[in-house]
Amino acid sequence: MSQTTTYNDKVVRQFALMTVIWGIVGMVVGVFIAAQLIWPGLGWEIPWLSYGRLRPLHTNAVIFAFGGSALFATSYYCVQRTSHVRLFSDKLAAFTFWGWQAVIVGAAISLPLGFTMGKEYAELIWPLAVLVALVWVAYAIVFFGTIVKRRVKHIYVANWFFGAFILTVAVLHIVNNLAIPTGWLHSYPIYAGAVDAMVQWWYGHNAVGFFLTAGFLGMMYYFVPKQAGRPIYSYRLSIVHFWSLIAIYMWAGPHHLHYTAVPDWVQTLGMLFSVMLLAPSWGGMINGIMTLSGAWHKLRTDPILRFMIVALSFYGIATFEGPMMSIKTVNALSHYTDWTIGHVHAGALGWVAMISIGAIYSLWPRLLGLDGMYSTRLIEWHFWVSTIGTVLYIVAMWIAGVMQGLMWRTFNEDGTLTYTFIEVLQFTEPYYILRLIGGIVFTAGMFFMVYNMYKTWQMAAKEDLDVSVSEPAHA
Amino acid sequence: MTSGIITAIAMLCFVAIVVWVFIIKRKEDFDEQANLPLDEDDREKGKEEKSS
Repeated sequence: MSQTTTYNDKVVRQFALMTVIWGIVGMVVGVFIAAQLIWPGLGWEIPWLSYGRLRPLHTNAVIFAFGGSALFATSYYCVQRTSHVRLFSDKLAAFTFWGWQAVIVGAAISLPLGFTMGKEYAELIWPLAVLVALVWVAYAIVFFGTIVKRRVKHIYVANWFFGAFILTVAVLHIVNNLAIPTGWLHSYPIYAGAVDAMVQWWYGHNAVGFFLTAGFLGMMYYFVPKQAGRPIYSYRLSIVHFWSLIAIYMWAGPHHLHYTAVPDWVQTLGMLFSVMLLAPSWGGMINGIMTLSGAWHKLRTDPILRFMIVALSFYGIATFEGPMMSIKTVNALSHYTDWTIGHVHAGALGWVAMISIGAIYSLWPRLLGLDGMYSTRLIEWHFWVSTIGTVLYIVAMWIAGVMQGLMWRTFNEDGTLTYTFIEVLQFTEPYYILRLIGGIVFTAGMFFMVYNMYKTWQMAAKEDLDVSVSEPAHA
Repeated sequence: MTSGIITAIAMLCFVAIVVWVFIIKRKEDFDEQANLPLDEDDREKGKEEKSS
């Protein structure tokens, strides 16, 4: 019966390890393409090293390989511990791990070779997209199956967020990838024109809203209380947060299509819902940060907690900036500039990566039966390096982006452009170098992490890592 | 007309959730849920098992 009385931590350990490995891969590719924007000769005219092919590799690797693995690891851990049962099916859980790794390897081969569906954040060719769908259905069965067989009366709020993320991503992925194959490597989308654009950004923005927000909020709602040793500030607020966030996010996509062929009222609708998103986003941020009220001193000694609280602060910055940028008049300045890239990375580095790093540091020793990581000092270093890297990155992109927007819209008396493209590019170059430095600094921290994790793994007793399932909670 | 009705229904849903969460539901229920991540610590449990 030992099979049924312990938690399935094997799959959690596997995903936790791959989170860091894929994080390093994705970020190194990011650093490389950031360098290409300064020195276009990098890549030596080798087709599979060209910017156009490596950029989707970078985005797919950091979002789906790094972020995805972190979400699998933390959701599997959280749902077992807060349901007091082992995962629904070990075989299906193992399939999600190996299937997901196969997708990533497939992406790492097909994207540099130039095989793409051409949809942003949904570039994978249809056979890989089908595999993603299969893995995702298995993920949903494992996750919701575990919830169904739980031995606790309630479903903890983190599981609501994880559940919404799993369900929504399944719908988004399948609808956006509907295509007619013309061969193994090529297909045509079933949508055309403005409809295609709207489906794409309905998908694209909800990938941000549900993959990169709801999923990581689930992580936040479990690991911040766990690490702080105190319950979430307001459970009531968390419920209002959940329902308002998922109800509003669905409609924000059209802000990616301001001043395009999409109907004007759709753009305005997208703008309004984006502005409304500020309320639930900040509600969630305040709920997370205020969990520490009365225990602020813990921030001084615990760099893991600091990772999480700073992640929430960046979440607050990004979710203030986002609604502002979705206002059409602001968007007229910011769209197509590097400001967008800065905004994305405030969310991606500051929020997604830092909350994941914090959660993995919290999780890794627990998975190995240890009291803590090998070196707290190294975590401290990692914290500062990540924070400085993120700040350098977003400040550089703010300046570059706003200046690009202003220079592009400056006209001479006779209606011709005041600045040529190359003049704007020359202005941007120093900020590209600053961004590159920020990226290198941030990526360096990931090497501290992988070393620290390796040393922690060496400390662990190799046998008896299985943790027995808790008693059913008496409601 | 239809969009106005749907907007009103959506707003009523929001109000209903807020009323349910802040007025109808018991606080003890939420306290119990909020403590779910904290009610066990594997490391503590491991120690107990080893010592017993």
